[in-house]
Amino acid sequence: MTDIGLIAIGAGLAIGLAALATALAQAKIGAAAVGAILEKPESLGTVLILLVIPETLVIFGFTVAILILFTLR
Amino acid sequence: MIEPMAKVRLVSPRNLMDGVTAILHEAGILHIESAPSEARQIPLRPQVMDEPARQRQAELERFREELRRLLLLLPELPSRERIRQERAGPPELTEGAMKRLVHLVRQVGTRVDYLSARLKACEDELALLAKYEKALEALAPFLRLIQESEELDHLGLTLEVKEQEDHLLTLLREMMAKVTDNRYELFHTRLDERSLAVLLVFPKICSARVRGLLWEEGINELRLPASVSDKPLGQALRIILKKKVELPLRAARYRDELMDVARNWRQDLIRYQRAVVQRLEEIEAASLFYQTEMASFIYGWVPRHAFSALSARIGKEFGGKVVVEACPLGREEWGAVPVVLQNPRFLRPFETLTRLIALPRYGSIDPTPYLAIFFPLFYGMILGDIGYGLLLIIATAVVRRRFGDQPLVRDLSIVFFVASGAAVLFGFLFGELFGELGEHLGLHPLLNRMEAFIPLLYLSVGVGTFHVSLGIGLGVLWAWRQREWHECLAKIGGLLLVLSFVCLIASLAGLLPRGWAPWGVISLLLSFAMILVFGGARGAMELHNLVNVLSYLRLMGIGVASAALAFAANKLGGMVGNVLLAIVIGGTLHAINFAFALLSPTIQSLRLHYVEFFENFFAPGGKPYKPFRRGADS
Repeated sequence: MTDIGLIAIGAGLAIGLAALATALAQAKIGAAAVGAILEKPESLGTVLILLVIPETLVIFGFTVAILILFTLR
Repeated sequence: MIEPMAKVRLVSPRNLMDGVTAILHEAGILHIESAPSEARQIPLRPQVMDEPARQRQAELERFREELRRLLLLLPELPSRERIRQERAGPPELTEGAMKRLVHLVRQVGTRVDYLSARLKACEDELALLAKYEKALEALAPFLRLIQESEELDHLGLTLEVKEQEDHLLTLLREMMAKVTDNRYELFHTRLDERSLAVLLVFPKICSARVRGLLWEEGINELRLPASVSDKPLGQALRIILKKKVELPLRAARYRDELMDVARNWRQDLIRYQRAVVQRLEEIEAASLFYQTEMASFIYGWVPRHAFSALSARIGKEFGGKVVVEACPLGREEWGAVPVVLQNPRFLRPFETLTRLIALPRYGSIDPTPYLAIFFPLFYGMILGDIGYGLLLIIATAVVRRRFGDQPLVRDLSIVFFVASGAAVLFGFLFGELFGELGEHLGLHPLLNRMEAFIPLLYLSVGVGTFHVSLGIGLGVLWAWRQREWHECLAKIGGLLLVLSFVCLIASLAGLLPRGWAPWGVISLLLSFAMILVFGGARGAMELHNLVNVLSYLRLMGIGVASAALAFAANKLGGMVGNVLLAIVIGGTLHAINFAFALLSPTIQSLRLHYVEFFENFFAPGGKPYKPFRRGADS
């Protein structure tokens, strides 16, 4: 396999695994968030924060993927 | 900003309290404090109602419920008549007015109850008849064919057709032939796809046997309304059809009469209802007052700028008999002070975004002005497309036009007008109009998002550094205001940490002169020392700000994803040879991207504020300002 291929796989894994981790975390938070909003609608703001916190992971994954593609190529 | 508040104490002779309460109620600016700290220091006891006052309250509560009931029963007036009648205010509840109220409630109540009961009876009967309507209308032609006779009985059935229709009717015929010795007639017609209406005519002497057999077979006879259940089927049908014509006319007459009553009395009832509710609010507020043998005390909060006007008004009404004074307000009491956000008019819509998370505590920093600057900036950076920005402006205008009477929609529409304007401006910077279509139309990107990833990465980190540093700076200010010197110095250490770390990385990456790197290291070590010395274990939280800075990479990440989706929409559209199909495919994908564009930049921009920016200075938990004023509850 060429170096380019390995770089592409590395970049793909960086964002793919990060996205998977975000999805797992958001699934659990999302389920709890719906329950919380039903019980207490005014908690929307707080719940929104909790829900989007794991998204940092995928952003980092995306950034790492870009860095892999642009610095190693 | 958070409106400065004055802590107010009113002292009045007990016999003037009703007048003072009425003035305060009308002024509508005093937030009554139910548990003032002074009440614990001076021997004050909560005001207790005497027996006549309690009876008066109970009487007014009864009237409030009765008026509410009557107003629910009376129809609304057409808006033009309502506006004409609404000019008069609520009457003073003097003894004379109370007598008029009793008379009014009795007189109007009796009439309204009578008419409403009649109307309801008509409507109930009509609803009941509607249930029989289908079956009886289906059977009516057969009943007209049959000559009425003392010797004959009629029976209506509705049958559910589960199997073949012919099979069911054959079974019924066989059964009737057996029971009546072939002396019967059977008429049938379809009601709908699943049911049949059947009329059986047979000698009266067979009635008991026929009905018994049908019951045994589980076939239900068509039950008539109670008012005609004792009549023969044919006669019952004629009565029902007559009622069907009469009842709507009768109901319309009762409605007209109710409307006449509403025209004559509804506005009077509303005026009295307001007067009663206001009086009850005053009585209920009095339970938050305090008293000694001779004097009553009211504690509360008013906006500082309104204090002198309130004081002057009370002075004018009661001379020197009622004292209004501003009490000293210590920092330890800030948690109890109600909060009013008071920003310039153009910033006020952004208060909605602050309130979405929480009201800031009194004395802390109101983040609204910063939200008004950075929310549109971040939104624009993420969306960054002239086409989507313009579409969003149009969508916002449509929503505002349709639902603009709701304050929340009005405020959010302003927020989105500004945010989508920023998206258009960034669209020019990125040269994007529905993706790269802008380039084909002559737009030249200053920063191409599909290529310049690394410059975008630097830009995002730079914006993040500034925003987080601003947040820490505001945290320093908040700690200073609270006289928390250690926290203040730890925060300064945190600020130094972020700036020196970013400078160090930038100089190592060649973005800043290499010679800055050693100074960066020294500054970094100094910031660590400050954080550990002044912040202790809690100071370790300051390190989190480094992660917070990196979190701003989402400005680039989500933005590039949005641009890539637009690019894909154009590319896929361009791959098909047919122009119409290309428009359909491209348009659909752009519509999907636009839906994302509504949601994702909003959530991400809010998150950057609520999590990364607010973390350093925002003190939630402000008590909402609820002044004692007329109709506050309604």
